[in-house]
Amino acid sequence: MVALAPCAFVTDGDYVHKTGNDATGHGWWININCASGTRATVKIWLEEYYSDGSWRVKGSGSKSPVYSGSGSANRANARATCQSSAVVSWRSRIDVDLIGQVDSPEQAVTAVRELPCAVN
Amino acid sequence: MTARIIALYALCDLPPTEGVGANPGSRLDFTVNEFAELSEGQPVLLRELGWTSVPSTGGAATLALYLTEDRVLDNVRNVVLPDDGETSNDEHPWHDMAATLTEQGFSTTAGELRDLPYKIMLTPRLRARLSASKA
Repeated sequence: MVALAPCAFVTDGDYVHKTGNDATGHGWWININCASGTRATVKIWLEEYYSDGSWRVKGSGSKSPVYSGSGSANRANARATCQSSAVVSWRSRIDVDLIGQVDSPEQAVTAVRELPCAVN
Repeated sequence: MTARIIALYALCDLPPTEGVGANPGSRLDFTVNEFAELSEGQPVLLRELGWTSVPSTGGAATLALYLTEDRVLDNVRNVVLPDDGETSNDEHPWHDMAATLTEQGFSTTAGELRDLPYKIMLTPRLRARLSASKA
């Protein structure tokens, strides 16, 4: 029996940014060669960097089902309320699981951004 | 302050960070800076945004298929959406943008900003990369 290779898609995530008194981020996905009409569950975690070298989850969110593409209807969102304006590093981690299909286990990690927002 | 705000624009770039680390072609990191263009003087930076793209499989070959001008423009529009975009039809956070400009000494409102042209611009470096991906 020949195992089918997972189809290809791209996971996109915007850089964690500050809106009002929240750190926030979004995740979405772009179909490259998966079947037309494929949908996914998109999960996102906001991670803050700690001086001990660890990244700790401070907010999470998910959306399902999500069609490929951009637009507010196709984004999973996570938020974390800032507790001080100390400047710390943020990134998000995004997992896209195709519904009813095998996909690769990788998660996307966005570029790190310094924000005046700490959640302790 | 005498300068008027005459337009708004988002400038998208693809800094040459691809291939940093052990996995060349494993990701793309785009920057999107949003500005207010003035009748005179330097543009005013409103927001520093961006996004990361990571292929599920196929590495650089998948990213080459992903990298089209239409897709980049769509993603810029996605990145500049309001954070309450899930419940709003606005394409931009007009009130936040007006507040940022007011803090910097400009007299404007969300309504005035909504009436201005909004452009999306790609840097020459990103355009060159798009052309190379298409070839």
